[in-house]
Amino acid sequence: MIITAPLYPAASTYVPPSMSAMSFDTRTVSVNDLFAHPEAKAILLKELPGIESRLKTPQLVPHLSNFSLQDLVNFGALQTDRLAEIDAQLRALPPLPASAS
Amino acid sequence: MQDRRTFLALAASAAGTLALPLGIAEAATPSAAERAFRPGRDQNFDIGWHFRRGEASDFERPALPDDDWRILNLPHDWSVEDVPGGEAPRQLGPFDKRSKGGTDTGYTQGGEGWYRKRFVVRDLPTGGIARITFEGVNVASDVWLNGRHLGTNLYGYAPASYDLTPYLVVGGANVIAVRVRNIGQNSRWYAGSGIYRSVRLDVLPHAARIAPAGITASTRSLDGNVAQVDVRTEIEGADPSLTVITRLRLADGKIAGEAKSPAIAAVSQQITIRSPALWSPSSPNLYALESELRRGATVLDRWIQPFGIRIVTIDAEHGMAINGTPVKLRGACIHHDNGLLGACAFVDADERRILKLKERGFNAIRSSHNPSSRSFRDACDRHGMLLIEEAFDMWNVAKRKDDFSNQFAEHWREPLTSMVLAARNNPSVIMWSIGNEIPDRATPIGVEWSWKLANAVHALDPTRPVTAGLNGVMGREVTASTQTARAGWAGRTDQASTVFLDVAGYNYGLPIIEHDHAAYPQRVIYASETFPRDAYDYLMLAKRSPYMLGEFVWAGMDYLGEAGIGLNGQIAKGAPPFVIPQFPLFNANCGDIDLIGNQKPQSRARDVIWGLSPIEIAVQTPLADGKSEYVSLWGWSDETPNWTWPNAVGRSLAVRVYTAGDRVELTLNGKNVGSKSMTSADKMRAELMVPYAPGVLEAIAYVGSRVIGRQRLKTVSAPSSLRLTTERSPLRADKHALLHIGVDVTDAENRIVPDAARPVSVAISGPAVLVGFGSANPRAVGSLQAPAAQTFNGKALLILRLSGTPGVVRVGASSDGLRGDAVTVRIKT
Repeated sequence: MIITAPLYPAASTYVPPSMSAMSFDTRTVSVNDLFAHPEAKAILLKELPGIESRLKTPQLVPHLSNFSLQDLVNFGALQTDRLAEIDAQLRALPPLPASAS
Repeated sequence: MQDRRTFLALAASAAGTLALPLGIAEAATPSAAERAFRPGRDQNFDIGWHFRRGEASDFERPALPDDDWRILNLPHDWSVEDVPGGEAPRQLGPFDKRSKGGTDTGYTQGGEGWYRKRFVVRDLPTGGIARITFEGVNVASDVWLNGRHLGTNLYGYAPASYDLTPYLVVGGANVIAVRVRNIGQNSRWYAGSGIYRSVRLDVLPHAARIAPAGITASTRSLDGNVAQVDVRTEIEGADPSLTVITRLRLADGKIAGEAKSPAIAAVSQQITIRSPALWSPSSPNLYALESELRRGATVLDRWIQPFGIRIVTIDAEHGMAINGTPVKLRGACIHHDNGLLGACAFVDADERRILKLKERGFNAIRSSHNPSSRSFRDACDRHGMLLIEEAFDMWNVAKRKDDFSNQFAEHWREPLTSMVLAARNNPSVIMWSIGNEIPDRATPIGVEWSWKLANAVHALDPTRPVTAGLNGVMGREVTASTQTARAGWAGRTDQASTVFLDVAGYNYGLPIIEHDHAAYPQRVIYASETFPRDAYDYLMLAKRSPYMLGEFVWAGMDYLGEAGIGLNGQIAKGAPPFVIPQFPLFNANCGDIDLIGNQKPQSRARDVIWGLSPIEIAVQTPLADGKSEYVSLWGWSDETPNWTWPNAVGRSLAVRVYTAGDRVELTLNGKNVGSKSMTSADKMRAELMVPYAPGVLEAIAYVGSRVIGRQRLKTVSAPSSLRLTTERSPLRADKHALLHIGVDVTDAENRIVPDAARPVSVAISGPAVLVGFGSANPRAVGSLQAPAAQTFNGKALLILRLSGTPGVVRVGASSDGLRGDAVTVRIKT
C-alpha cells in the first residue's frame, strides 16, 4: 500500500465568498444576527423582556456573535421555555437574501 | 479557613529549625564558564540572570549596578512568588484579592520586572552572527543589548529572536536587558509573568550558514518498506561550492539515509529510508535529522533536531489515520502552566504532564489557546502524544480589555509565523489551530481574517490541516471561489466559520455535530472542547462516525486561573443552580488530573469508559440537611474513592460505580447491600444508596455471570504518619532538573487518609532548592514556595530544582502529631 502525504496548499487571493439566503431561528443564528434584524429583534424583546440588559455582561458580549439563543440556554446564561414560540415567529420572517461575492 | 501563612508559622515552630529560610532559595552566582559562549548552535542561556521586580525607565543601561539584584536561573515566573509585605487574609503568598485579573488569573499579580545578564562571546569573526531566542516571555517584552534596543515582542507565547551582532562586543563584556510587562486585564487564564521559557543562543562564526528556522522536513510517501522524506534547507550566504549534507540517523547513531547537494539559497532534497521505524502514538520512533553545511571536509554549520517519519491522513470518509492505521483522538485541552511552578516551562515538568495524561489513555493534546513550549513539544514527540498547536484566543475583538486584540491587526503575523516555524518539524503536531472561540468570526470581516490566517499557515506549512475551536453557531452558508477556496473546495456550499478550515473543531458541540454532518457530509469534525460528563457520548459518537475524529476534554489537568470553573458545591434546595467563583479560589478545578498530578473522580470514570479499568467506585460526600449539590458544566460531583465517613454512620450514601459490565453488586462487610442491572442507557454509571457503616465496601462488575472486575474501599483509621515518595531517581546534576516528591498522610496501615488536611513542613539539604510546595486544594491561597504547606485529600507535592552539582539531597517532612518521613536522592555528575 502506498500512502502519500496530503497537501494543503495556500490559495492565491481573497475574494469574499458569496452568501446564501439566511432564515432566522433560535438554534443556528447568532444572537447578534437576530438583534441586527429589526423584526427579529422585536420578537425577542416581546418574548424575552429585559433580555437586552441581561446580555450586557462584559464576559458574555464577545460571544454573542457566536452564540444562538439555544446556546445561551445550554450554558445557563438564559432561562426560558419560550424558544419554540420564538422559533415559530422567527421562521415566519422573510429570510435575508443571498449575496454574491 | 486557616491560611497557609499561619500554617507556615505553626509548622516552623513545631519543627524547631528549618533548613531553608522562608521563601525560595536563590540560585548560585553563575560560573565564568556559564557566562562565556563560543561558537555553537542552541546554547543554553538560562543561567545566572539578575532580576528585579518593579517599574523602571532606564534599567537597560549597561553600567547600571545590578549586583544587589536577585540572581536566578530561568525559567522564571514572578507571579507565583510571594509578594512581600502582604496582609492576610486579603493578600497571601502570590495571591491578592484585589488582583486586576481576579478569577481569570487566579488572583495572582502581574506588573513589571527586569532581567539582566552579563556575558561574553568569544571567537566571532566578521561575517558571523550571534542570535538570541526567547522561547516565551509573558506577557510583553523589550530587549536591549548594551543599551541598544533590539525589539519588542507583544505576544509572550511566541518565540522571538534577535540579532545581537550589530551591538555585540566580541570578547568583551556585554549586558543584555529584558523588560517584561504583564499589565492590566490581558488574559482569561493565568499567563504568568517573566521569562518563563528557555533562552537559547546561536553563535555562528561563518557568513554561510543555515537560515533561522530554515529546515523543513516531512514524510512524502510510505510505500511498503520504503519512506521518502522531503527536506528543504535554506542557506544564508549561499555558495554552490559549499555542500549541504542532510542525514537521518537512528537512535544508535547509524545513518539511515543521506543526501548531498550544492548549497544554493534553498536546497530541496529527498532521502530514501528503507525499513523505516515509523513514528506513531504507540511507537514514537525518532530519528536525528542532521543538517550540515560544509566547505570540503570543514563543517561550517551543523543543526540536529528530532524527526519522526509519519503520514497523517484525514478525511470525512475514513477519519484520521497515522501511517495507514486509524486513530481516534482521545484528547485533553490544557493550558501552559505547570501548576505550583506557575508558567515555568521546565523540561521535567512538561514531560511529567504528558506522562500523567498518557497514563490515563490520552493520545492527544490541544495546546489551548496558545503555542506550547519547545520542551513540551519535544516531550510529545518522545512519548507519542499528538498535538494541536493553537495560535490565538482572540483576533481583533477583545475578550479582555487589555488583551492581544489591541495589537492583533498590526502584529498577527509574527506570532503565527513563529508558531509554525518553531514546530513544523515536530512529528507530534498534527494540526494548526488559528484560534479559539473567536468573536465575530462568522461576520464578513471575521471570514476574511479566517482566510488570512489559514492561508498564511498553509503558505508556511502545506503538510498539515488548519483548524479552529468553534463555539456556538457556524454562521451563514457561503461559497468560496476558485482563487480563494482551500484545495478542492471551490464552489461547494459551506458555512462562514468553517469554509476556510480543513478540519472543524466543535467546542461543546455534542447536540449539533450529527446534524451538521448530515448537512455537510464532507466536513471533518472533532470535539475541540467537551464537558467531562459527556465522555461516554463522545466515545460512542466517534465510534459510529468516521468523520468524527474524537474529543478534547476541558481540561486534562487543573491549571491556575479561570478559578472555579469546575466548581461543585452544596446549595440550599430550591436555590438557583449557580455558585459564583471568588477569592480564595485560584485554580480552575476542572481537570481530569488535579493541580499536583493526581487523578480526580472524572478521570476514574474515564478510565472505565476508555477501557483502562473494568470498574471504579466513588462515594459522594454526604450532603448537609436541606442542601443539594451544584455541579458546574465543567465540573464533577464531589465524590471520592473513600469509605471513611465517621459523621455519617447510618446515613444512606450515594455510591457510584463505573463499569462496562451489565450488572454490579455492592457488598458491605461481606453482606449484599445492592445490585443493579446496567444497559447502554446507564452510560457505564450506576448509583446505589448504601447505609454507611465502617468496614469494607466492595463493588463487583459482571458480564453475564462472569466477574470482570472488583474494587474495594476500606475505612481507614486516624492519620498516623507522613510518607514521602520520590517520583523519579536517580538524577543527573543538571540545573534544569526537577525532583518531584509526593507527600501523603497515612494511617497506621500505610493507607492514605483521604480527607486529611494536615500542615506539613519540610527540611531540605544537599544540592537542590525548593521551587514548589502545595496541594491540589483550589482554595489554598498562600505561598507556593515556602517549606510548609497543608495536605488536601491526604496529599501534597514538593518540587525541588537541582543546583547542578553532584551529591545527596535529603528531604525530611514533619507534621505535628504524625510520624515524619525522610528520603534521600543521590545526584550523579
